[in-house]
Amino acid sequence: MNRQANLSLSFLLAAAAVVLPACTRTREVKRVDPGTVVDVDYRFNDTDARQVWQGMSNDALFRQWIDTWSREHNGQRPIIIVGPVKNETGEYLDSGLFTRNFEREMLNSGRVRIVAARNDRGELRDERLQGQEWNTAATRKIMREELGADLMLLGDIKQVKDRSIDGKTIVNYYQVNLDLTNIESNEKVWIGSVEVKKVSTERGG
Amino acid sequence: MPSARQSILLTFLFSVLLALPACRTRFDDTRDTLQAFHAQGQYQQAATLLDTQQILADYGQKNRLLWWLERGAVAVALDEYPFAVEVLNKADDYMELEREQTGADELATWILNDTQSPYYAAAYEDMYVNVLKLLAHLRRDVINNGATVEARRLANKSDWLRRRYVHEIETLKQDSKFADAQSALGSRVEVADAGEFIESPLGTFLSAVAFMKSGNTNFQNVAGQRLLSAIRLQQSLQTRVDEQNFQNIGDLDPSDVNTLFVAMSGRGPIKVPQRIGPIPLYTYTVYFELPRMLYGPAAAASARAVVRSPGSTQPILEHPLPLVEDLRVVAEENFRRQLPAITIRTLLRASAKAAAVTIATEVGRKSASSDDLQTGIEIAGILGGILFLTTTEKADLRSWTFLPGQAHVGLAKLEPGDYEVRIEYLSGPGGLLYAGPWRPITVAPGASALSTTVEYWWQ
Repeated sequence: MNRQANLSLSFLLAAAAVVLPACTRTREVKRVDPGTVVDVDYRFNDTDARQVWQGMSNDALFRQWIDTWSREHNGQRPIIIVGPVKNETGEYLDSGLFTRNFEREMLNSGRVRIVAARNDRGELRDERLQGQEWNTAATRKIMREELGADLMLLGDIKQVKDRSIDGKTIVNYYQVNLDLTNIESNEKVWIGSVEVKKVSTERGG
Repeated sequence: MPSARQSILLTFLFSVLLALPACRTRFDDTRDTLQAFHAQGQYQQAATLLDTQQILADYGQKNRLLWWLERGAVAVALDEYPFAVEVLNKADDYMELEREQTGADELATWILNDTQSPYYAAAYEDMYVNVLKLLAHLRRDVINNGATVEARRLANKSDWLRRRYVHEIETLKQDSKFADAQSALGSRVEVADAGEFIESPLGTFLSAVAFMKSGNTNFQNVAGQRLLSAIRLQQSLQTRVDEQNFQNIGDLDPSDVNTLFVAMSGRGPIKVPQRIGPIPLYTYTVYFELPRMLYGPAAAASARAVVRSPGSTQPILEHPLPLVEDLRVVAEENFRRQLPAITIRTLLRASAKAAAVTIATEVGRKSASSDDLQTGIEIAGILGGILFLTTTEKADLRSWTFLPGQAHVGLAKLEPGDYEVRIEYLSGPGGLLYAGPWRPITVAPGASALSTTVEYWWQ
């Protein structure tokens, strides 16, 4: 009888295993504060980008390099242009997620000036060129009057990713490096670095 | 206590109910149709079929990974590179997190067979998803934040897969089940396994090119070394790849080359069932199936790229494209890393099922009131057992159908300008087997420029 009970149990388990995947799933959407930390997985996300631009802009504004620059350049504010940030990771990352906010924080501090990056210049030049033909004389913009940048923001994102043999634990480390380099002399005037480390562990199942 | 008749009925019911999921489904028919499309190079038809709501529903949540893989590879064959990357990214993200069966999956695979589980990628598929994306990015000329991302993913994944399967086989060997399985199977199936996971040579070649063009000399050099190691491992499997053709890829200067040709051909392996048994164990007999890789065809012995000026009939360059990878051989070798675990699980499951049927038959037989009834129960048990085992013990034959069979590659330097390129596939004696269409390319000036031509012939 016990053996037959076991057989019945096996059958029930088999049936349950076949039926289980058919259970329905629903999805709920709710609106949250953009500053809320939501880690869906271990990859670089919005919270990490925020951590990077906040850390970078705080550091860049806290250090003395802006005062030093102004002192050495008759009180002039440094003019910055955003250059490429190399993605040296195994993930698709949009560096604009933090460079845009970094630009904004720096500009809004009133201590630096910022000129359009290379990608945006084409549109501006095209508009100016069109304006020579179509704008009224009073509003027509002068050609070749662009502001030259003093410093270029360059950087890279590096990653070390390690996975346990069973694949259940993943350690993901990112290092975002930004630096401001004097375009004329190649001298670096500021270097910032922000690290992000995440450990993802799969449980249960 | 049930009567003997009830025991007979129970035995049959149990067998039939468990055998039901093993029936052929529309999903199986779709897989066959896709294979037929692949064999005829009908990728547009394959895309149309895969995109129908009915087929999407048939694949469902359980086989969505397989759908992404198939649809992504079909998109590559149709030159739909942005879509290919989008779909293959979904597959890659899924594989990254869903590598292991859940408790419910394991229960279902232990009770019935491996086909009950959602589809988890084989190790070779895990690797080729990055190789195809790498190719798609290069074709679109997206080196940074595109090809280089895939190159890093591929290297990281290959390292982990190699470590994982070395560890897995070592762990298995220490388990008493391993020795039991070896002695039960004898020479029928090779359980003890030698060799190691092979990183895709095509993938490492493309990685070296991507790193070279992104200016990362260090990684280019490493990829070049890894390519040679992968080729040497591949050579031990009797392929025609010659490492001499790829000696300097790690040291090339970005200004040395500006044109990449990739000639894919043939069809990758599919899985077919290998019936094992009867294996006598104690008082019962075991039958089961294991998945075995069956090579697709790969007719081209060599390939070459022919370059001409637009509108001209005279070629200005005929560039030989050496074989870099036989994907069929590498896939099979890497699948062998997974076979010991599959074999042992299948043997244990089939043994448990056979034992359960034997016990059920014995219980029924003992409870029978007459000799005739006992004989009847015994016959019913044997027949039911065979039916039960042969219908439920089905190998999991799901696999990525639309993989190519082999890859020939080449790098060249052309003067900046517009050209037309055609890839030609040649037989052993050098006869033309197939010529792709003339494809326009533009070679941009500058050391970082790279123009990529990808051709695919399915024979």
